[in-house]
Amino acid sequence: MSFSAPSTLATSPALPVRLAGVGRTFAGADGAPDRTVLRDVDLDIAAGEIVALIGASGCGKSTLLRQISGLDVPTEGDVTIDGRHVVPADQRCAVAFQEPRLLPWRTLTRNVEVGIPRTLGREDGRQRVAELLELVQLSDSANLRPRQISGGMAQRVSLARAFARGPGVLLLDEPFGALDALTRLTMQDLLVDIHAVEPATIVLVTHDVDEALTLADRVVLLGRDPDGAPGASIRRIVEVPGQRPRDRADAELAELRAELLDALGVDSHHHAH
Amino acid sequence: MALDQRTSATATRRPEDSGRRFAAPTVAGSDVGSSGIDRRPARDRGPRGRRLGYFALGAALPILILVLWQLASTLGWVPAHRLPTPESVVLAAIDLGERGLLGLYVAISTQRVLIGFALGAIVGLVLGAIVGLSKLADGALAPTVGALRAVPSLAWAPLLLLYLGFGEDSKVALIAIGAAFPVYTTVAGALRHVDRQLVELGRAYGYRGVSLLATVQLPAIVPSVVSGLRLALAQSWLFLVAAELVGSTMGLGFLLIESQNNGRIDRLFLAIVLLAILGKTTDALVGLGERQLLKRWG
Repeated sequence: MSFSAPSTLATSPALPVRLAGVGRTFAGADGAPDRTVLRDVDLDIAAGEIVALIGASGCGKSTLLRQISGLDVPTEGDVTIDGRHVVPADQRCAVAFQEPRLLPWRTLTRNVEVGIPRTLGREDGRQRVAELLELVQLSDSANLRPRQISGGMAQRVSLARAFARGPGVLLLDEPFGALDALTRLTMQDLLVDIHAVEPATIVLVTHDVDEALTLADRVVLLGRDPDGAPGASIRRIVEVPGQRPRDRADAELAELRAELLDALGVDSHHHAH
Repeated sequence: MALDQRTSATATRRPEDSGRRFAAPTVAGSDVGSSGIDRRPARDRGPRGRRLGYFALGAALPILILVLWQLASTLGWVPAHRLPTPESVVLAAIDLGERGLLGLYVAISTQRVLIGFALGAIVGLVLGAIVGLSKLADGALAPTVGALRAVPSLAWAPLLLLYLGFGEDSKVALIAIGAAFPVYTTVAGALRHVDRQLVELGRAYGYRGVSLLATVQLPAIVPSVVSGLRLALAQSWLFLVAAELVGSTMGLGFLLIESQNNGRIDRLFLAIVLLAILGKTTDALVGLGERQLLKRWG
């Protein structure tokens, strides 16, 4: 599927993101000890770059994403977008949450409308919503309610809603998690296509090493230091070679894949020649 | 993918969610084809026949009661000064109707209920919204409102009569008090329990304050508000009778107290039957509206 620039471009330019010494500790409730989830995260993300965050379950990937979106505030360090501090619920970002979070009383069309910037005119907004639904292959379901669609469809609506914003920074928390294998590949290609036309800075949380290698310029491995202080930090940053769209069967990627799986503590059953 | 058929707007994440991602995917594209599954099930097949049958089922008990009543009163199981015949109740209705009192009483009682209900519902909505949205207001107001709510309806009546006089104001005010509390409780409770994830979604997409309320919170509580309104309407009829029993010169509550004083048991029964019919009718009307609303917002 190819993607052409929507007739109603409402996108802001891609913005650089900088995390400096970011840490997040949650205060323990009722005398429970404090829980440090993140510490000393330093990361510079260039404008228009795609960064994939991988790491074990519960290691703070989503928490890190929330620091960038301004939905949470770090207890240490600074997060800046385009050199300015992140404000609560920063509108320079668009977020696709791990759960679809659709408003159950609205049709899919009206759900995607939530993402349309308020500055866009009514007609233009409507047109953009229609284009986005077409893009995520949900035009036929535009007038259904969330309870009438599958989890995978709901996730695509959530993606369309995030795209609708045309954000400087796009934050995707396991955006393809609930999709079946084939739709997942299609949506990955779609993301690459959209990024080529509307190059936002994208930070993508994923469990899928292949997905990270297909989509990202850099893969950031988040994890705890087994002997160090509590809280996850960046364990490793892998530059992914080559230009998108990448050949999923590329041998060099296979090596990286084995390396990353190894770092995640999974036996890749890969035998280097 | 059975579990995935529903979008999970629930606050708790199902533990199997993360496992699911790694599970072998089902047949490709099954995801897309399932859109038709959840459309309205085959409940409406032969709707008229089924609805009639349902209606007959609901009507069976009243008819049985009517028959037993008839038998009990005509066969002398219960003496006539304790139980009037159904016929005499109908005659009492015709008699009152001919004097122009029946229509007047029904009209004035219904009017009091509707006005009091409307006022009370508005007060309950506003108060419930304030307490439901603001922790500060919750802490400051909720205990007092809870205590006021515990005051029995009849306790207000003498005070309201003293303050507002014998006219309509005191009755309407009492009914408004009765209607406000159920709406207040349901609205405040529902607002406190609006899915946090949806509220956060609204925030993430730039909705704040009033726009967040209009976009996420209010639509989310529509079903609770409607059931609160329904409760409030039932409560309005309760408080109507309380108001009219204590001090009035017309209305169904007045008919009750006057008939008691005059020993007109037929009229007493008439008033009770009328209250049952009116209460059920207004509730059914709200129920109709509720169905429409739930179709849209449920």
